[in-house]
Amino acid sequence: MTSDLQARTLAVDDADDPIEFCYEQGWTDGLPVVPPTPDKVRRSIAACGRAGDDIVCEYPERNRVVTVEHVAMNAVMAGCKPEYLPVVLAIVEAMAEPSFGLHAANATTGGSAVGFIVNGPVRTQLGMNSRGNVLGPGNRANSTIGRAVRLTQINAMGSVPGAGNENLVGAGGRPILDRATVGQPGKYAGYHIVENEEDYPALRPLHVERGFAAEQSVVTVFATVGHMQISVHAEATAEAIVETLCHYFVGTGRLGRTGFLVVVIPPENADIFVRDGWSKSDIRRAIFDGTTRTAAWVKQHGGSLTGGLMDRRGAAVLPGDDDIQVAIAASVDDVLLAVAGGPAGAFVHALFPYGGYATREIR
Amino acid sequence: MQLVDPVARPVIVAGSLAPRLSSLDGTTIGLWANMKLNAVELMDQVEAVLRSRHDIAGFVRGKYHPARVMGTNEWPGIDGCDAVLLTHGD
Repeated sequence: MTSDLQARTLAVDDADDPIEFCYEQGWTDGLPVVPPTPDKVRRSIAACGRAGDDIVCEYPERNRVVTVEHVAMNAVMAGCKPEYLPVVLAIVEAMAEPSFGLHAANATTGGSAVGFIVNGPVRTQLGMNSRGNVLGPGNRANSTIGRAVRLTQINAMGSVPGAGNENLVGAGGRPILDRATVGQPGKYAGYHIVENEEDYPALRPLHVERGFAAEQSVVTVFATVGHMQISVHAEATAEAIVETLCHYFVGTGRLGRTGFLVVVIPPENADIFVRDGWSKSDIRRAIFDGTTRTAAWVKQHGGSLTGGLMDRRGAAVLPGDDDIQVAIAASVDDVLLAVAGGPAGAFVHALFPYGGYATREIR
Repeated sequence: MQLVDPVARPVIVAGSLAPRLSSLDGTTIGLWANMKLNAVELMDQVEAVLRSRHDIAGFVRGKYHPARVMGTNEWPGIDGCDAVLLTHGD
């Protein structure tokens, strides 16, 4: 019985492989999916305590309305346990915030992946990994929550990939919307960051910095071009770590007056910040100040200002350019810091924007 | 086996085109560029062509973000335009 579900039901012949059936319908991201049976979807919806027809995201650019049921079906296909659904829903809700820039994330020729930072009790309740390989494979919740978001983009938002291969991608006849030129591997399971809140209480969790209570479960969602991994092994003080990070950030050519920056601080570096008495606020301020330059400086050093999407390099210095300040993020508060990673290795990871970000409580 | 279809279909909202102008003479035309490479230069050419062919009263120029819904307060001068052209795409 599927009368409580709004989605149409398709019959798969007993002689057919349901996984292959899902491929034929164009429902996958290229990897096999868990076939979305009505019972699995029903269990997923029941676990979140919301009605299936609750609206999660309105997407006017594509005339789509995404409901709890849509997200649940895609979460099932991604391999999520039912109890993961509230996290996926919160991520999709955050993506619907105007500050996120949903249409760019779904349609751009650039390589825009969804990243998210999970804070609060839900991390331990779901057995999420905040330590070794936090951004990599190995943990079901980390990986499948991120994959559920991508499948929701493909199936519920119409972000079907494959520009130039319209006849090959097997999207079930749906038009291509995700027109990424090259794409990036972060588009499979997202950048799933889970903050280690337990080991460094002096470094307040991101959600607490953003005004939530420690006991609230929260996700901060962002669109990103990808990440840079910076070796900060030789730097023995907080000042030296930040100085090295700023050297790399300035060199990215991404200084501007808009945008944000996500920095994942691994334990080896977190130890030093705590030993030297730095708070996250101190780190954010030091990164912002350490990357601040004038527009004239950027131009004189061969850069382009990122106020326009496709500025040419080498523009002439104009009167007033000495008074225009640019930095790696729009403000100190737009530098987002999360402690995560395994016990060994001073590899700071920085993620750069492709749009905006939004924070949402997980309910 | 029964499977449910995870695809959300478009919700089609009925709309209609804005009234057509009978002439461009005496009108104010808005030209908004989408921040892509050469978009402003393209609108410069459009303005020049329109000026050469019609007795346009004036132009309002602006820029808009190509990938987010702009607020109504982010289009200064648009209320005074009789027609608006946008650049679209890359």
